[in-house]
Amino acid sequence: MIFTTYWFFAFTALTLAVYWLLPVATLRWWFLAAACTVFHGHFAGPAGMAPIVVLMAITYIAGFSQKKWACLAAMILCGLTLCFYKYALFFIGIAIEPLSSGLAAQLSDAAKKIMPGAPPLGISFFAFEFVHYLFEVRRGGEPIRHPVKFLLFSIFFPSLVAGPIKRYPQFLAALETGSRQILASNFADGLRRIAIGFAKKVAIADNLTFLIDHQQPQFATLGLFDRWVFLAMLAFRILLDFSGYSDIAIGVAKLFGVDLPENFNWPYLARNIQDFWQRWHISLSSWIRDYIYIPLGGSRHGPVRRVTNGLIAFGLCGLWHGPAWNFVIWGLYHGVGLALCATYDKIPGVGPAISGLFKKEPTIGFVLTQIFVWIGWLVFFYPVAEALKMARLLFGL
Amino acid sequence: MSESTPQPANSVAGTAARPFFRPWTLLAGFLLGLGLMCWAGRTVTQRDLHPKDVRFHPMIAPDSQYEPTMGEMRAFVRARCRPDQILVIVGGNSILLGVGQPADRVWTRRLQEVLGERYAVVNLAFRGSSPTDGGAFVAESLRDEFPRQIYIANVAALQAADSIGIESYRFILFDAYYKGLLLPWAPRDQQLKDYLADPAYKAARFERRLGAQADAVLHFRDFWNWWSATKFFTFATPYQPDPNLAYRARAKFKDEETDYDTLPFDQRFSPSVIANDTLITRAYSANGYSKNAQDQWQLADASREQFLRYAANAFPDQLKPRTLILISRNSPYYTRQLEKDLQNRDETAIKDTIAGFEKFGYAALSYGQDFSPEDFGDRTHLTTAGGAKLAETTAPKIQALATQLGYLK
Amino acid sequence: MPTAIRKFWDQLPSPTATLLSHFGSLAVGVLAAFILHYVLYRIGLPSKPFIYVAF
Repeated sequence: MIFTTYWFFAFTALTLAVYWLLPVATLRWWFLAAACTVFHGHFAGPAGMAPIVVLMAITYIAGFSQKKWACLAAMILCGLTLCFYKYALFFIGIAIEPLSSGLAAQLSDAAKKIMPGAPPLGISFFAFEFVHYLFEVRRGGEPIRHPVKFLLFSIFFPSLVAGPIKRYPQFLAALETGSRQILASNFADGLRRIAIGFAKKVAIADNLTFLIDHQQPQFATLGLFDRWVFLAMLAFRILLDFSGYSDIAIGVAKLFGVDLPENFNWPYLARNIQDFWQRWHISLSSWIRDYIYIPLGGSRHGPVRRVTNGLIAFGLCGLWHGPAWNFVIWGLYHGVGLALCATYDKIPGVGPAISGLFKKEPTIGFVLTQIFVWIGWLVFFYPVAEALKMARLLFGL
Repeated sequence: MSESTPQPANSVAGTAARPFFRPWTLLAGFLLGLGLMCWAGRTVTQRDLHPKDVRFHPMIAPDSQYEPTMGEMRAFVRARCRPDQILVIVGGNSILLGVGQPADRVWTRRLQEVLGERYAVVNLAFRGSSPTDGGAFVAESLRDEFPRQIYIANVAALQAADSIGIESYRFILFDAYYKGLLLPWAPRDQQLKDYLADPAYKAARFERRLGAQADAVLHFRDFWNWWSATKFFTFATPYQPDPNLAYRARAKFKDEETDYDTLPFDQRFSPSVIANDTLITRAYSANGYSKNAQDQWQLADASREQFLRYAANAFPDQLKPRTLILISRNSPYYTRQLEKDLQNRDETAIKDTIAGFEKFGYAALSYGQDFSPEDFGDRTHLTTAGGAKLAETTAPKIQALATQLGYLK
Repeated sequence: MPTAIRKFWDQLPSPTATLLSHFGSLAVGVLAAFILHYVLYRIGLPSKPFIYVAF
């Protein structure tokens, strides 16, 4: 919603003008930090700002101290804060409700009294960025000492709401380089990227949404071909909407001379599931890899641990998208897919044959990958039972 | 500012040795494009986007997510009124829009016939609109171009309107206001200020204001309305009747308003709505009236003051004399069932309404007292026959007003 | 940039490439303005653009 407001356009134009009129980079950082604070305050309100301000302060201090225990404690706090604001009601529902519905109701009411109407703006993103920062500092990375730079890392407005999830060394380097000189190419590239993002989002994804919403109730009555067309629309809608949003974020950042990490790299050209996750929501998948999968042991302890770690990582990845079982199942679905992708060639008898076939005819692998991914979107968007029904109908069952 | 840094080798924007995009040229193209779009937006408002239409029917109205712009409506008027004609703009709600009358038999056509060539009647009514909305702002904006103008709108008894109209049509006010098309009018300016400052909605209304201010410069609503009307509609919404026609150019849709003549009289007042409409009819003049010592209906002072305040503030003083307020009545199907006492109360309320408006220099007229139940398709909307009677009732008043205002010299 | 297109681009005579790049840049700039102009219109309508992303 934020990118599609006049306020955002006016704010960006005004901030950009003042930013580049300032004579030195340091002044520009201070100004941009103030502007990001105003931005956050406008959309989040004081109640929404409180969690990020508190976590920001704690993370900064913990990082500054460079004490391992402080960084660990701050990481745990960030995780707990995210869980509280985003998942408290969900966890109460799954853990307490089956045991005592009365207690669950009491806890839910108590939680709702403390929580704001909606989770704090961008909590899923800044919590992950703070965990990344603390993790890296804890294992020897240089902390951000300059409070203004830290503030910019925390609430940089183009990426605040929906990513990409930043990595602080790259962000700081980009900020320091990009803010020193006005380059026409930054404006040109930024505008181009913003236009692409809006075209994807407003012109295409928006219209696909209408078609999807119109056809979904009649899915069972559609012909087989039309059902697959529906699935394609669903797949492209999420890609264009999400990548469009990333394009706008990256484009706006570019106007300020800051390069944000790419988030999508033609994911529907992926040849296998591993390849897909190196192209889809790259900033999230790499975060999951670096701060969940690898710390759990990654692939270093044999195939069973590898698969288990992958399932945990992707279950959490699914849960990150929203407090609902269908997201978890979607994550696990991809975890299973990744596990298969990593191990299918070792299946006795058929494994090497399948592997050989994919090498000989890469199109088969590509098609299977896309079918797998696109069907996965059903469980992402619809309740599990409905998604299963739609999946069966896709195959005429 | 320098040109660029070298492009990475695998960039989609060219190669390291030879970049494709030239930053300054691209930026120049962007500014050129923006200028072109602004110019295009200003230019398209010179043409009538709806040459075949006699009114803003649902497919070219907010009912279906199409928000006509001031430029568009002004062009609509210009295409239908010559400079030597007296402009009669019909505003108001669905009653004056002619719901229940097909386009070829809408009451404003009959009004045009009765008034003759010296007048040009233009229907700018909208469903659910208030007297101060839509057509009112268009008429006001054309006060210099068409100084000989009469604006008509309708109210129920003792109904008045905010000078800033109602929320559904506020986009028209914003369009007119921020393009500087309206007269300065202190009560309206203050009301708009208060509206924008309401803490409960401040952010949303500020957003709307920003949009109107940006549109005043960039003319995006004018351009893209032209596109949506003549090329294709650019997005699909649930608010249109047929999803298969979601992207069809809006000018290609016909005016398919309900024709009450196709509905037999005994089916017009269905049992399911009679009970509700009876209650509404009984309450037509209930607000503020009580019997005085002479056993006559009298309006409470507070109610009178409130109504008079609205009437005083609704339109700028300069525009009141050329404004004709029609007081709508309910169908005799319902009113004839009322007790005599309630009928008297309604008449008193109508008289008070007329007197109240005339006090501030408006012209006011009630219609429908001699209409039959067959002239109504429902409680308030008229059939073709009813519309014709409305036209014949209103025309003499318009002519008298034109004489009074010196338009016929 | 796909290899074939990159090769083609690199092999174009310099004046042609310059002209093409300027023309292309101008066109892209105009297109970007066209898109942003449309977005400004679209976000002012009651039916807001679909936003899925809301984390």
